[in-house]
Amino acid sequence: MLINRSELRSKHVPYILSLVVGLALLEIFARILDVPYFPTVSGVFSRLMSLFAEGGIVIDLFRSLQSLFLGFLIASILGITIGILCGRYQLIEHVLRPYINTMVTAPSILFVPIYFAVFGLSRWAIVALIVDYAVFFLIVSTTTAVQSVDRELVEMSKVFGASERQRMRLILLPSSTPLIFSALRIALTRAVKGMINGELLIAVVGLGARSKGFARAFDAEGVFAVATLVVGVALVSGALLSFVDGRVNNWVPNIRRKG
Amino acid sequence: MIRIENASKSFQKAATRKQPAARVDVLDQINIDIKENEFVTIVGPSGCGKTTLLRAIAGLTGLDFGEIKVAGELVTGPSPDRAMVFQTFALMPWASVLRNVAFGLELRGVDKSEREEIARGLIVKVGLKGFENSLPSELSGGMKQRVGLARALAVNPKILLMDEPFGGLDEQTKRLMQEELLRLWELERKTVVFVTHSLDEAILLADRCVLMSARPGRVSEILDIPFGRPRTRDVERDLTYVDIKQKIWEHLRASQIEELTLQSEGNVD
Amino acid sequence: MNRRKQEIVLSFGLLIAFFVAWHLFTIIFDSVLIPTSIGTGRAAVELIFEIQTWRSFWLSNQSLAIGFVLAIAVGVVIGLIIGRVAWMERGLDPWLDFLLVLPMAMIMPVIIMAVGFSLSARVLVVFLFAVPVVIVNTRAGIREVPPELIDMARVFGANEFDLWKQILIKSAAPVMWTGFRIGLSRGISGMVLSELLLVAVGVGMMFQVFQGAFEPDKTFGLVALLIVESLLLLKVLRLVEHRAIPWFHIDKFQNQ
Repeated sequence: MLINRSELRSKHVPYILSLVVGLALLEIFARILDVPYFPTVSGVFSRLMSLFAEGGIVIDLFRSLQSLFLGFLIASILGITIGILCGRYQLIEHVLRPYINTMVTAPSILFVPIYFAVFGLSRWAIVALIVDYAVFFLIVSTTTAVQSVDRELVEMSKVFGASERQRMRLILLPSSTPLIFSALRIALTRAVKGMINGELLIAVVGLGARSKGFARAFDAEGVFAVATLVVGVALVSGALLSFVDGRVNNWVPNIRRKG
Repeated sequence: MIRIENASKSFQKAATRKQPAARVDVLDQINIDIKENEFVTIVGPSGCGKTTLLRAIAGLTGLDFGEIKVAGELVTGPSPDRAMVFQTFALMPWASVLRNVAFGLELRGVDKSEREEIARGLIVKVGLKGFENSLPSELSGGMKQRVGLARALAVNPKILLMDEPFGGLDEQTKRLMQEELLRLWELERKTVVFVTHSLDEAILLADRCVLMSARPGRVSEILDIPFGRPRTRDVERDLTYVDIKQKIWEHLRASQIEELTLQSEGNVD
Repeated sequence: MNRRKQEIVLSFGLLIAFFVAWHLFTIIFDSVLIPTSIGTGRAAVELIFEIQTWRSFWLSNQSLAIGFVLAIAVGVVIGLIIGRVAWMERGLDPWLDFLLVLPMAMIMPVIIMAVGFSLSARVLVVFLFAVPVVIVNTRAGIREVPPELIDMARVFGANEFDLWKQILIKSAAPVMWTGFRIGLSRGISGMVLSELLLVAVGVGMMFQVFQGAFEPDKTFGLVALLIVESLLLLKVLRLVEHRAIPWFHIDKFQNQ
């Protein structure tokens, strides 16, 4: 069981409770305020339902997910590979450091005009932006993860005669996967941001574009409906990632807080 | 000086996957009288409540039942009169050694020049002269604990509470610190309550040694340590010392084995 | 050749390789939309010498400055309160997660509907972009204060006020500063987004003008200038941070 009973009571229930209470308060507040730019929670949800019923939004969702998946996949492969290389070989890390630092520090959104110029008004511009948002963060996190592998473990493997490849496969990779997975979860959030920003600024299809359309029509309810969907996408994909994380990394001890 | 009467404390242990919720008696009717200027050590297996007892004397934790009086006054909360030295040093990483040592005085509102003077004096006393402006991150474990000690002494407390202060140090540093502590204690014999895991520490430093047992936390026995003061490490070669050490170990060992059995049966965290 | 020199040479080599690749790219693809590196450089320099650039930057950065300062002020206060008051901490958890995941860019038009086209709108956007990170980091900082430090302070006679002033805030400071850094980065994103999507003033307007007039050189040049600006701003923040919490960075030097 992924959730145990005591955790259910102390962690999950208050979380959900707070959400429910908060949503209820928002609903009441919205009704009192009764302003077009502050739609009710119920209104937003029913709007989302009807959007799904109409169907158009499913295509947008699909399009967006395609870009997200592609971008995240590329970013993960690139990011983790380069990160591992940087973590393992100090030379590579030192050579690449100034550029990676720059790309991590500079807000990714500034690169939109560049990707737009290179890829034009296409899906690839958005994918490129998603990669930009996620990959540099992943490189840095992976590098840290690899560097923080217990030195004693590495030395132990050398003593027992492990080759470079064996060391990589049997020690470095398994040790760093927990941290890498944590980084992947955060990178996913960033990727979603990249996807949205990209679609708002560049594309004509996808959830971002749909939201833009609503915005132009001063349809706040529509905007929030799409936003909720995006948050949903982020949460679901995050949960999927957590699930895989739990399976792959089941040896990581549970740090329980002492009473 | 310190009167602990029927001190009792229990807490509710949350249910885990392996066992249902339970009430754990961390302290069960503890009665101890500690005289002024006495150095008392408390030793016992894990879970016997020795740290809880120390924290109760400090006033950091409350008791469910019973009371603790220091110099006739009931303990209701923490106070610099019952200064504490922590196992993890508890130094402020952003402050210099000087500032750390003077911290208690600063909180009390003592003038800057005055408190720095007192702090400097103590820094010399604990052997850290020259390190006044160093940051904790620049110090070794032993040095950090000296700072902790200096800080506790700076406020001239009625009693000194020490929670496994040398537990985080390597053996050699530990031995050095024990000798240091004996030397410092001779200069001004404060009332000390010293919690430890180490059998040697329990005997070497103490006038009396409280043996505790776990589940529930109780006082098994209070041993008299029949060696004179000033104390040196030579006592370790005395046969009485060896006897006492053997006695403590026998007491502890039984508890440790019990502990291990409980752990392997999955009944313990 | 020793290690360090080798690394610097390789680093530079990489940079040169990049520019070469860029040049090849423009030759092969010969796109109207992609300027050469030289073209970009020239345009950037030209822009620096135009008054209009500085006026636009000034205009844009107003919202950044005000929004960011507000975000710190408000974010820290909220973060401190949430971090210390237990039930609030747990209660607001899901909402903070929500704020962090929510793509603020999407919600922006709604803000315009509420507040209108003005400096306040842009300030609000910058604020909303930056504040969640500040709150979350501040809260984390307070939560992670080692309990033994709190015990120690109480033993030595600290009251609640002392606790806050002497221990909590100082201990939480490093994490808070991380929050400020990320907040600034997000604030800059907000500034640019608000001008590209909402109110075409300042830098946003410049982009629009360049796009419309098919001046890719200037577009890329502007991007370069903005990147430089954000790097500079973050560097300044770093310097201030090093002044504010020197104790945290001392061992970093030693380990290098």
